[in-house]
Amino acid sequence: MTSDPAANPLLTVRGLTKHFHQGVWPRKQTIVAVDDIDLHVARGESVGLVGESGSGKTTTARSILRLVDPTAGEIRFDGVKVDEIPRARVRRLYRNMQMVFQDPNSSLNPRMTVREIVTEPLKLHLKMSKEEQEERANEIMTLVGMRGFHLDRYPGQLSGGQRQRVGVGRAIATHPKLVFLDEPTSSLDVSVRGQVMQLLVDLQTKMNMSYVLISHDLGVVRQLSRRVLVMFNGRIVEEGLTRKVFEDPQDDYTKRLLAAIPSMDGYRRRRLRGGAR
Amino acid sequence: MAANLVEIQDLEGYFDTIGGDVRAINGVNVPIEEGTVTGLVGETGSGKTMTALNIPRLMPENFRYVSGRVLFRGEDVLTWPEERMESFRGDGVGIAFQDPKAALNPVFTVGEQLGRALRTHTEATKNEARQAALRILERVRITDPRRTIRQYAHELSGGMAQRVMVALAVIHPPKLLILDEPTTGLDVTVQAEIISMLRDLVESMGLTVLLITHDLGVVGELCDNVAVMYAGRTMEFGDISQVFERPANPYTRELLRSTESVEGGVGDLYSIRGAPPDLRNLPQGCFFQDRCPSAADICRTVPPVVEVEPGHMSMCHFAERYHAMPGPLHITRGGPEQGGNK
Repeated sequence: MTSDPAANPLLTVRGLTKHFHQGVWPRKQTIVAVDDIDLHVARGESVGLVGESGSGKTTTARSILRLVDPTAGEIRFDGVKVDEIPRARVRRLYRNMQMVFQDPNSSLNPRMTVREIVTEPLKLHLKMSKEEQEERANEIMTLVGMRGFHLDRYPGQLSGGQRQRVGVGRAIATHPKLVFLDEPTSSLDVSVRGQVMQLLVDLQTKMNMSYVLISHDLGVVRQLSRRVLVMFNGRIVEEGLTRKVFEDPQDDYTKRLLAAIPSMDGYRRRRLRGGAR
Repeated sequence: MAANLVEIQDLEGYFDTIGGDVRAINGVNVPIEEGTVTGLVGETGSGKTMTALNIPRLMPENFRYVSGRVLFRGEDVLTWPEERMESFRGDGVGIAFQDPKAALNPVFTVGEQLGRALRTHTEATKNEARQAALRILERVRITDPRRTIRQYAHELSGGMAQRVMVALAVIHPPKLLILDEPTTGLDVTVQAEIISMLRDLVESMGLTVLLITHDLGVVGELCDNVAVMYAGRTMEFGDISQVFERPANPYTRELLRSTESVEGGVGDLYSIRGAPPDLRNLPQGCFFQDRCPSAADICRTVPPVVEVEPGHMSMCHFAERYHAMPGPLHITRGGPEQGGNK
């Protein structure tokens, strides 16, 4: 890892903008989902992207992955100008850039076995033989803390935590350099959530991947990301080291966001004010 | 200490399904003190909602009772005839259901639904109902009640739908209000507004509330007492400071510690190993034994419910030992404010 994270960035984004059009003339409206944002991600770095629903976090990720085409902006990933790649060749990006989706219940094909799910990227991107695929599938299961026999299961036969492990397994199958994690733990219960977070931390160290973690859950960002960007209305309103931003937020919106988190010791404050009976 | 409005005692039951019995409720004891907010907290499948639905007797048809009583002012609701339940629902107990956008009726306006909720239980005229609807919408802090009253569920934002759901449940204030996951699925800032609205509403209307949530932060913000559920059992019950500061149950302890780490971002990343048991195939004895740091042979027998201090119960063979330990939370001990930033 480089000492200066900006020196050799894996991903550099400049002036990214995405407009959506809604309605029909004469009431056609333009919605500015992402408004001129800059970001960079160093190799092996984990960056958090926080903000509320509608703030543009997911659209930012989807634009970088070219799942939607950005309206404007420059995206450079690992030496490649992503925004200039012709549509037909976009798929090649996904060998090195992957995404873990929010809801494993809807992002895993219920009619595919775990084996089919995790080996699909191997077929598509690496053209592996059947034997190589099988070997790699077993490796992936070990990496995500599951067992070989799970390969024969369908997503419906797994618990929520296991399903998300499969989602992670699929994303890391091709050894990508950058993984977008879109609310990777929000559908999980707290006791399982910690396990999946630990898995993500371990994998990152083991495989030296970069993460862009999209989350409205500030605790998760605090545990997983060294640096954080706060989005509001399509813009980045604050960015910095996670510890610093959380301890000493500068922007009003960041302050509001941090103050809004319900706290387990809230009852003590109520008692001090005499609010609790 | 005020009297208990509701007392759920030794409740046990299961779902009769084609795939076998699903043992959803396996020993629930929750007293709900009049004028307090009692939290029912636990993870998915721990039986929170099923426990609460026993009070208005809205259990799905394939639920079979094994034992237990649900006392409302000393009378067992489970023995009442169905006719008596009809007036009890809404009058004795009201529910603000989880996922209000789905729970609200899509074909009636907010005003029509509020009016009907009131007129079912009172003699109010249509005009009086309309006035009451406007007043209650204001109390749940809807900014423009006159507009909202004419709207349909699909026109409401998540936060507004939640406010309307609460308004529906309290327009004719029930003796017991059940709030099922009132902040789930909302953005944090909206969540904070709902919490503050609920706190004021409960205070000003003097409501008795059973609050179902998986979020210990919400419990901290709103509850006086808390019952911790796991695999259909109440593992621990007590005053919130008793439970949060001196938990007498290993599950509560582990849950508090992992929540503080995962959601609060405090300290190193911490999680409970393993997964909750399968309700079709529960272990003998304590249900937490496979994940418990201090499981012993004795844990294969059903643990007793131990009262470790007045009003503070724990279902564990080692309840006294756990109660004597220092609490697990940094925030109540003044430990590290954060850490683990990788």
